[in-house]
Amino acid sequence: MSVLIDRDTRVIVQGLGKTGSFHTDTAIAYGTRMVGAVHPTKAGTSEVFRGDTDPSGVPGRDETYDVELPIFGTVAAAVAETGATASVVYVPPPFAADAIMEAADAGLELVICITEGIPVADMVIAKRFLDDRATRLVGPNCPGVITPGQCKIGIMPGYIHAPGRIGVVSRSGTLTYEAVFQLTEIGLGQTTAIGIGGDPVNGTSFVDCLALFNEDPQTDGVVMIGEIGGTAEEEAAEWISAEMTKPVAGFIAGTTAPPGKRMGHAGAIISGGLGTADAKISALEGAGVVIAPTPTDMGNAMVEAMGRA
Amino acid sequence: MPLVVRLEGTNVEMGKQIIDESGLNVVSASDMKDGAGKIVSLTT
Repeated sequence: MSVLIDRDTRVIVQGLGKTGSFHTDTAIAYGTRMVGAVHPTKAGTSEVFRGDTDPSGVPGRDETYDVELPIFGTVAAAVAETGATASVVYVPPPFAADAIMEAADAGLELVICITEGIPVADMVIAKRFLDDRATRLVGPNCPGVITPGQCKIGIMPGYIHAPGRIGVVSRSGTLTYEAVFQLTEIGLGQTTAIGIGGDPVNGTSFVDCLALFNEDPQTDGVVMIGEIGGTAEEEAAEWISAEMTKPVAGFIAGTTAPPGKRMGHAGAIISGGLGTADAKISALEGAGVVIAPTPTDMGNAMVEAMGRA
Repeated sequence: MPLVVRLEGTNVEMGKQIIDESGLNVVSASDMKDGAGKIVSLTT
């Protein structure tokens, strides 16, 4: 199975500048069903993507791909024409929150926003807008979502993934790749890897993802990667104690972070003494999560958690 | 100053080629643990 996306998910891309085009190309190479693009000034035209198929992606395809993607002026027009249910947003920060709201207004089931640097005030407005709608937002400031061998939406490299049994959810993009690569090398693979992103205001939480993995018949365990700042990990610990039926392993970044300093991610800051890595580790261990002491031990922590289950 | 590089990801082959052809004295590592061990031993 998988959660959120699979081989049938039809995806449009919002923002087809240099970055959007590059990652749309890698998605098509992987076998993701990209069906259209939205760009305010290129409506009515199309863009051609061709190259060598990514062998780590969807199996059974030709060695090369050659796809012409229609470009629309609005999300609504793209959805009407293509039947897309998901969108990936590469729109630059000043306009990205608007792009998210436009996607929700057009009735998309899923919007994945890669953009980093959206003003927090904009995201507060966008999140409130989404509260009244059925659209799920993942991100912003995230690497995206991938169901290995089926659908890759975002900037993650395909080759480190393998279809398998473990759900991965993370605030850090690069640490997701570390965990994924370790799981692949151990032979466990992934059902779906979800980047929830490094922003303080985001669309999907650890709890949301844990609940999805808990219900997914193919997922046997979950690796969660957190970091300093906010209370998402503590909330996850509470939920895991009360509801989780599958083993969980984790890593928390930032044990040596100085208080009051924003460590890269907008949401990664110890503020007023709260949001420390130690507090999060303590809460999660209290809930039975096996915590990896370093980023290189995440795969082993998952094996240990599954052995204890 | 010693430089240890562990490189994986999108276009990794191209990246490794650029580093190899750069003439820089770079020690390569297979994973983060290997990289950490190597830089510590090169600087102590």
